[in-house]
Amino acid sequence: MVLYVSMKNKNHFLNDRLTESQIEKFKLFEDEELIFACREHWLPITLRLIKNTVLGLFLAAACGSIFIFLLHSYALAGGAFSLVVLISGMLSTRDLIHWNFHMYIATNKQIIEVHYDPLVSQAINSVLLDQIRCTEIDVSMYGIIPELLGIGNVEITFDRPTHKEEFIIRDIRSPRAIANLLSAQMHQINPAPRAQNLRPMWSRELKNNKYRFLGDGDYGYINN
Amino acid sequence: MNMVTTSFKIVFVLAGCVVALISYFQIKEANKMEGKMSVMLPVSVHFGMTMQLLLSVIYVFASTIYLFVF
Repeated sequence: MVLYVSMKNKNHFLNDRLTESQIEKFKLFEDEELIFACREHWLPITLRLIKNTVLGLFLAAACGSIFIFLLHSYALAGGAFSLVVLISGMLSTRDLIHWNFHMYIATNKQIIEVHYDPLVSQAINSVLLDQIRCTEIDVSMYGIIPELLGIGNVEITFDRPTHKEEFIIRDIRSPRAIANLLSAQMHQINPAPRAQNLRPMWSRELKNNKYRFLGDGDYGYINN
Repeated sequence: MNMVTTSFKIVFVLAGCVVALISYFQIKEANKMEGKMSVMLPVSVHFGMTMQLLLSVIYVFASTIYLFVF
């Protein structure tokens, strides 16, 4: 609960868009507690929108020029230009909708990834934390701008083939803090196995030899 | 030459219809998902989707008039 309150203050929650009761919808268990809910940072989507716009305008201009130079028709050129601009606008709107509905929600029981691409795909991926063992939590930040703004990926690797053995939380704000939070949570759920009793099946004390070998084979040093 | 121009006009009308239809279903689906997931899309996204639909309908109208009148 302390963790919950502290993270809430650190702005890892989508409370500007998602309220407690809305997040409740994703919870499977009664005693489930929210750790964080986040979505992709605004920078990657802004860059994608700029790329779409520039590419759309370039293609529109190219199509328009083709009609002007080949068919000498300004009306058709205008039609082609408008059509390409409309299509690129449609793709940008789709990207924006996808960004808004693409969320990562982590509770003390599961990690959920919600995907929604209008008319293309819709998926909710959930990994139950008590069913798996996490082997690695990696943070990766590439580039100057992501480093300055604190944008990066958190890659969680599992020891079983679940969610393709990896759960990648992409392009989120404060990936280090999120990774620390997840590590703490994973550790609580699956505490490190107690030091196993490493006593061998059988052993024999050797007085004269320097080395001690265990096993059925008759190799190695034998007691004289 | 006339054939080529007319065929391009028809292509533009059809493409405009497809874009308008996709925009319409995109709005419909997004609204449905808003209700289902209780995640509200920002007003700017709603405005963008509506403008997209409006512009594509205007484009279909304009290209149809261009096809039949000119």
